[in-house]
Amino acid sequence: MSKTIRDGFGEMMVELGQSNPNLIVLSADVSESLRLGEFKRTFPEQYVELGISEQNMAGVAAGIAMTGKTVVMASFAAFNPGRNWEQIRVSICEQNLDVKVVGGHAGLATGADGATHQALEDIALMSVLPKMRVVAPSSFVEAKAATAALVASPGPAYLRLSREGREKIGESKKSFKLGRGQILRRGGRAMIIAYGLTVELALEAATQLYQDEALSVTVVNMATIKPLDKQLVINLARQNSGVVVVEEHQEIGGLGSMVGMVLAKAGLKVALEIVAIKDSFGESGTKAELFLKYGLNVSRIKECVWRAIEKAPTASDD
Amino acid sequence: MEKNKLKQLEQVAGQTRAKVVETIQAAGSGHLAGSLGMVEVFTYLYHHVLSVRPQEPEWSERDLLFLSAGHLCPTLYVTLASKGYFDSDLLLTMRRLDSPLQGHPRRQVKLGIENSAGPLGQGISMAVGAAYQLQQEKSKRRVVVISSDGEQQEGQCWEAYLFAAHYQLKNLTILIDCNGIQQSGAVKSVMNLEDLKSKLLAFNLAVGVCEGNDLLALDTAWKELADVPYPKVLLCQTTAGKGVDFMENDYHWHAGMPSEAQWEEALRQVQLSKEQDVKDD
Repeated sequence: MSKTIRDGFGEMMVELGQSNPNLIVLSADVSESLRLGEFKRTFPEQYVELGISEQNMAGVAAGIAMTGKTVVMASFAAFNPGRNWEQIRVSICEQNLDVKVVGGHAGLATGADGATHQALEDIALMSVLPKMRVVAPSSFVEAKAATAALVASPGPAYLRLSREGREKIGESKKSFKLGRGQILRRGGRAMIIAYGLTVELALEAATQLYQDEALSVTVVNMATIKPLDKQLVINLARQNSGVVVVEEHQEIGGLGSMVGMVLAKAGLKVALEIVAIKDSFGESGTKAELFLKYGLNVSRIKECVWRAIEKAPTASDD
Repeated sequence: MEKNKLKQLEQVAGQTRAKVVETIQAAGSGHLAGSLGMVEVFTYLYHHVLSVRPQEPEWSERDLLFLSAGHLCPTLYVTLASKGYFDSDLLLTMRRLDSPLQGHPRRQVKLGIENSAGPLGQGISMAVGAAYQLQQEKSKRRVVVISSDGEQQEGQCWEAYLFAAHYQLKNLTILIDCNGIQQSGAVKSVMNLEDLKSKLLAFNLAVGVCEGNDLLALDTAWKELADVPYPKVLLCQTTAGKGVDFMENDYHWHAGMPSEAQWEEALRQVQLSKEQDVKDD
């Protein structure tokens, strides 16, 4: 049985549907791709098909939420948010309604469908909206927990899902907590912060750096991008002055830019490297090919760790 | 409609029209053409049709009125005040810092306001969503949404109509302010809607047409559509700027502001009509 990130979302939705008659799910003609087929079949009264009309979907979600329901509205991240950003801004955020925007097939991992379907701007689009929380789980298990946490937390939220992913990442016994970063590995001198599919790349890079180069770095899974766990970033940056952020998203407006703002505002002596999409669109390819081509790979991460360490001011520079 | 009731509604409409002019004058900005044109529609809905409780604005069984053409809010605000949701003194604060009566409505204010509005097309989608859920629950509550002809240029409206027809939302009525004008000129010249009635019929909605400034005509049209088992649209043919002779049918007054002398004349005309309504008793 497939246990990707989107599978985790779909499975939890069915569990939540059992106990929650006030949970209404909307989809814009992509129910199977978002793993909502099971929910649709099991709870037909709680599922609404919108057809290929994402703007109307956002308004309908708001209208249903206004009658007292919790609404989950799902489509591909390129269109939801994206096409209906303004509707999310006003109908959902300004009115502060209990609607969860679910953006599936996010990032390059969408693969063969190509650039138009690869959402690389969605984190920026959602983070900039007042009232909106932004979460990007890294595994099947984390997607389940994140879905449950967001449905239980009233108010607007964005859940970014990949079509790929593994059952679980790392041996961390800590479960998902909204608004908290998760330390997956403790080291020093440098830290790698990631979310979604890049978390396992970060861990792999850390493992290789330790085994091959005797460098032990910290790895953080920043599953909640907004609200950002600023305290964790600042605390860790005191011991890990080389900071590398890795994301399947544009560099502009991504987590890296937000971490940079936190570090600079705190006046910390750190250096930042960002491994992300450098202001370009994606293209067709397999996930592996695309990650390699666009620099989302272990060797690039390792390079950036060393660059950050070299750039970072050391005690002797004082 | 019974003669006394009609008389009463006409008086309310006359008072509302005058108050709309005063309110926009006090604010220094606002949308006169549409607000004046839609006085009868708001009066009819709030004072004759909608099941609401001004003292209990969140009454769980209330009918829902969504304002999608948010720029018509001066008339919404004046009507809500006349219905008793809040004191009419508040109207003089419209559009000012910290006023609950913002330039475009905000849902969080409550006071009878159901939705935030302004970006066109959005209120219609909210209305169809609410109507869908209420119909699922077999509720008797009705959903009404006020829109405008210019608003039909937004594609989202038509997405909402597809949905309304697909799910056969019988509890939904959309009233469209057809005054033929918008910010930049006549609707025909800016982006021609052509035969709007036929377009809506083709989307499988029931469509009525009436003189939007004639309370009796509104009542007749409303009753004709009432039991039709389809989502309903009522095209209200209104006169932009109704009640102020130099504003009528002139698109410049969509958002344009009068000079001091023009304000005086506008007030004189609407206050005179108001007094006339009372005298005719």
